[in-house]
Amino acid sequence: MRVAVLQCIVCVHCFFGMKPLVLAYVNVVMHVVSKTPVCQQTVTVKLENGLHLRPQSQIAQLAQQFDCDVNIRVDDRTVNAKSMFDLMTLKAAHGAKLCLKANGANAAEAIRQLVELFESDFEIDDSSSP
Amino acid sequence: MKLTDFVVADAILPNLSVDTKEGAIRAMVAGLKDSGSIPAEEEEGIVAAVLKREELGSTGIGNGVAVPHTKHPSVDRLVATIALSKDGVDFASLDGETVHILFLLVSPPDRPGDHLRGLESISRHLRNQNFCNFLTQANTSEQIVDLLNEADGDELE
Repeated sequence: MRVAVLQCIVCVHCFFGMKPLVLAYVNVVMHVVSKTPVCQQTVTVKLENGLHLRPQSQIAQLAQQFDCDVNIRVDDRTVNAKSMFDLMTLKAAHGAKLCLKANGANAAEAIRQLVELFESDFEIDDSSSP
Repeated sequence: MKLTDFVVADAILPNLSVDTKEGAIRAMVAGLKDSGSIPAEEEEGIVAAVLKREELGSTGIGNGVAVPHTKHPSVDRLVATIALSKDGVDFASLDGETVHILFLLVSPPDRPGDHLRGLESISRHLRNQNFCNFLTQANTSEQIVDLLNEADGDELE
């Protein structure tokens, strides 16, 4: 899993610069804010019938539990993973590669649970109805 | 895929008068049967299959929309119908709201891609607020078919 923590470009001033106290305080706040994690991972759709309505519903319900933004990109399209109407436009067939990306609080945990959902094949017997 | 490629005009129900999920599904499948899109002898089996799918999780996807569906070997291409309910249908939707726009799809088991393309077409147009507004304001099948043609032709703002 790839986790990128955006670094605050001015944080060095907090510790090594001789800035006034107020400016240092602002820099510390910016440092904390800028520590917002971005996490992404690519998964493959293994379901025989592709990513149909049931797995889409599971993705939306899981993503909605997190405060961070959660997006899914396939080819050149990116959709909001919390929106069923967005997810339904994915048209992700069996074998499609999707890039899951979260940005914000608990981003890494959101991606971990989403990847787990894909790896479990959504606990769907795909020989049944979509 | 265009909406008019798979929505059967003669099966559209502009004024659904039932308020239960089963009643709505029965009425919509009957519409497909009456239009000749599914064999009459398969009507009950298709109703049962759609209801069985609903047991796995509601297809009421929120914002007053439901997309009940099933795979069934009696069809050789994706067929669908639309029903509108002024009063709303209790569909146990994800957001807890009643449903006013219903798309029912029946697809061949060996063509999952068509099913996904049908869902994509429906959701792409339902994201257009004008499409939703005009659809819920429609009172006749002809108005709905005109709207589908306009949507397919990207004539809606």
